[in-house]
Amino acid sequence: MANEKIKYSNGCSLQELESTSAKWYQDSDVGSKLAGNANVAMSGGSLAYQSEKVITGAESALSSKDFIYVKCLSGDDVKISLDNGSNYLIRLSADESFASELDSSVATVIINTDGTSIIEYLSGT
Amino acid sequence: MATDRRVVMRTSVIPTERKSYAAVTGSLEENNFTRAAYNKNVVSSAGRLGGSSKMTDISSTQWQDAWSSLTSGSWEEVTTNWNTYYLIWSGHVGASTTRVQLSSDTDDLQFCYIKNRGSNTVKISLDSDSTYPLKLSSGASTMFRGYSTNLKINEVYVKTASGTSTVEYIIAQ
Repeated sequence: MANEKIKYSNGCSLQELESTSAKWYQDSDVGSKLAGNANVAMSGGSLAYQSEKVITGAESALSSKDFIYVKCLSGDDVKISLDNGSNYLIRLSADESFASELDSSVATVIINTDGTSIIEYLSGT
Repeated sequence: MATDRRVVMRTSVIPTERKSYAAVTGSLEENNFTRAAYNKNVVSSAGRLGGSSKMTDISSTQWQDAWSSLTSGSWEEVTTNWNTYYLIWSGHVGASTTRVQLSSDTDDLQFCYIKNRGSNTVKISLDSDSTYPLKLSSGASTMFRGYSTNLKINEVYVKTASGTSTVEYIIAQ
């Protein structure tokens, strides 16, 4: 089957602290909330979900994926490598998520931690 | 200069899979409820994923007004004629198969948000145009924080797989 799809959205609201109070406003440089979404088909029709899991080191090699979602549920910061562990470029603190489509050139994604973290992740192929 | 800044981030991921439904027969005196077999995409057993978070590591003072493609302040940096500059008034940056560096600033990247506003797929490089591991379909966006000192603001590039597109972005220290 190749009908599995992932509908995903990432949005952010930049906020700026008003100078004379403790009130946060929409950032005056950006001016609006930002968001985008897409519904993407998985080329191989496969979804793999890993529910809540404690990690203390490099976690599973996710190979040849079309899509990756990782959430740091709690604990120390999580780091993500898109090149089989050579370079960790993306950080997730507790409660933060990363979701993106992956180019076919990405061979292996590695999820690692600065100490002990609880994560969940989803990949699509 | 802002007193302080923060980012409220929200991600939603809904995986769906194709489910087959068998034909159902049934009728009343005046109505036929018979339904043929059909397929439908339903939310997978993983359920709806994602959530919200507040990120406070972003600096109150940014490297330049152009840290956001949406700020009108970036126009103060423009020294070429308005009709020949690649930014358009909406705050979108043009992208093509030729690489575009979002910023030449060398500070550590604390937060980046990129949205593909066009119709062609956009690819993202995090290592100065060497590889392009992330991609965005039309209308999609992604966001991420740099890990430690491993990712610099000037290492983020975008280009299209083919044709042209536009992106909007936040790239912050």
